[in-house]
Amino acid sequence: MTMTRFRKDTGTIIKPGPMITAEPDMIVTDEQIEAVMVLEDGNPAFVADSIVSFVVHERLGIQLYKVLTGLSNNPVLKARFKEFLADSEQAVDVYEQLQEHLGIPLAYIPPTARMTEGMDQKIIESFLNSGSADPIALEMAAINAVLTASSLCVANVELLGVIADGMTDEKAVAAVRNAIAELEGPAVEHVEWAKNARRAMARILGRSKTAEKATNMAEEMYGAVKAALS
Amino acid sequence: MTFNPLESKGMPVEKQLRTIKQLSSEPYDKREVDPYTRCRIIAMNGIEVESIMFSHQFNRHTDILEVREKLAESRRIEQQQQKVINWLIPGDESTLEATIGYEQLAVDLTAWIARMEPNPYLKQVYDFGLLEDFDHLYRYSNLYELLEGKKAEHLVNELTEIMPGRPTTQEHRHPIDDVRRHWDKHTADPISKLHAMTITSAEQQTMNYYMTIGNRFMEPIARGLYAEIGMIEEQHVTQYESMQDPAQSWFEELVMHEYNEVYLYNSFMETESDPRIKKLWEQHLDMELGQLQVACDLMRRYDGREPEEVLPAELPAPLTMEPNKEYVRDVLAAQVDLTFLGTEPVTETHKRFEAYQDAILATDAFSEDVIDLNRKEQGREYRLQTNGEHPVERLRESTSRGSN
Repeated sequence: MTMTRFRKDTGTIIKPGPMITAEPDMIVTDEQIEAVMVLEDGNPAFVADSIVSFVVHERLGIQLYKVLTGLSNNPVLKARFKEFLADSEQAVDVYEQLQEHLGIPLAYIPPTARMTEGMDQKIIESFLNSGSADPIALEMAAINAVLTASSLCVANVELLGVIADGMTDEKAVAAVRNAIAELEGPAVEHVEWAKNARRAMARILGRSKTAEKATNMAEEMYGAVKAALS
Repeated sequence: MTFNPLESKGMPVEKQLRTIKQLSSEPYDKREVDPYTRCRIIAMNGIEVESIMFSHQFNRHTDILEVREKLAESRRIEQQQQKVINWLIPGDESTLEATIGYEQLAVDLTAWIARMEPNPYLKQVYDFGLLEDFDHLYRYSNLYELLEGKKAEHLVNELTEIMPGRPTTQEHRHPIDDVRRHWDKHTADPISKLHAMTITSAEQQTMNYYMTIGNRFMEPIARGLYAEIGMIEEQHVTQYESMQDPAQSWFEELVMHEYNEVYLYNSFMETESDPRIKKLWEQHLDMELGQLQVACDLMRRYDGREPEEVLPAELPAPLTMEPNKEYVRDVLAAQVDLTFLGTEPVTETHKRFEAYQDAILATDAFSEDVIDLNRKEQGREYRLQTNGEHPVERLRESTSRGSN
């Protein structure tokens, strides 16, 4: 199982931002991170902080897909969220392997990771208001959450490419390119799926003016979504 | 006893409801109660109140029916637990006697937590607050002698000394100098999290208590002293709550609240000297284990996380109420002159501190008046120094009297 949260007893280290206090032996500096990385030129600390924020985003993706799977009553969407959950777990593995290749400590928390986690947590927490959503609104919100989260996954993979372009160490470049090759497909697929699902829902919902038909529309919509994605 | 609360189901929440008559628990005998039993009761009342208010806030931030229902069920039980605990305090214990219990708790709880805290910055903050509550105990003890003609030593039973700490007049700081840095949820030791939650709850309860009962006195000096120290308690709540990582999700906070209750009931069950109260702590531990299970289930489903990701593998060593006299003396000797500039401690006064002091202390302070009045009445001020002279020379009785 992918580890999704680090704690003191799992050896977490941190580069604390201004408002954070941590025990001295858990605090690391850019210089200490760079000292254990294989990169020697450029700005290794920036690379480390970026990649850690990318893997944190994927870890929060695991949380998001677990929540969406539980909230959705649509078997098509449930099945799709479970697939995406597995993809996110795979992405975490890929990023962690990349961290190992580059010498970035797995249990390292830079400020970028905390900010990414905070943003993603708010996406998940937006579903605290799902009690006021009808089934269709809830499914649309879930798809929007997928689109929002996976768009950042795609953008992160693109940034990996930019980072690789700036590297001179051949082995490191190869490791980053390999990671991109594994991550890009699923990330793009998630975005495309979400866009298609939104279009499919809009086409169905746009035909009717009355909410009274919601139940029938939902059935029709589920079928349409299923057809659009099959 | 060390164990992993996640492996214990505890009492199911649906079986925890008490009858109304069970809520009015039999009070302790104020003449015989162990002072630390009184402290534990005050502490757990504050913990339950915090838990209830957190649950109410959570209820206002979600409309998922199931979450609201589960919160409501646990909250109703916590409201009953609070009644059973707080109603242990007898009616013949005066407001001032209860107040001295609150301050004894603040002193020995904060001191113990400071001693055990692994994070140096957080330990510094606890040491800082410790000296202020220590001073409050001294001021209220003088008020107690002045108004009720009794000595506080029969309340604290010589377990805690009573003498000046950081003078209350020096505790009035600009609001932005009470904000602190916070621990990070990924790296903080579990005990650091529990410490901050516990102290925040205790200080919040003290703040609420003074906010409510400070006007129940006829005597102007009592009304004034409660008003003045009540302001400091708000500063303490600001200080301690800002030590907690705001990046925790609602469900993470819910789980941590329940876990802290498990930790404290287990701690107090193990260290309680009164067999009847010990049984109550044991019962509430079983109830909290059940409530923790509910919170963990909500976290799994609505936060997408396993509780094992945020909770330690086993319960930390028990929190213990015990004398901390030498520790308090050491901190007093070293840190009585400390204040804060923003989030950091400083030894020198600064412009913002002085400007705030000028604004709020434009006239005399009740915290000094109470000492002067009692000294005038008794021919001396009230102190309980079991371990010798005050460690700070200028705060020794003859010195402080001479300076007035």
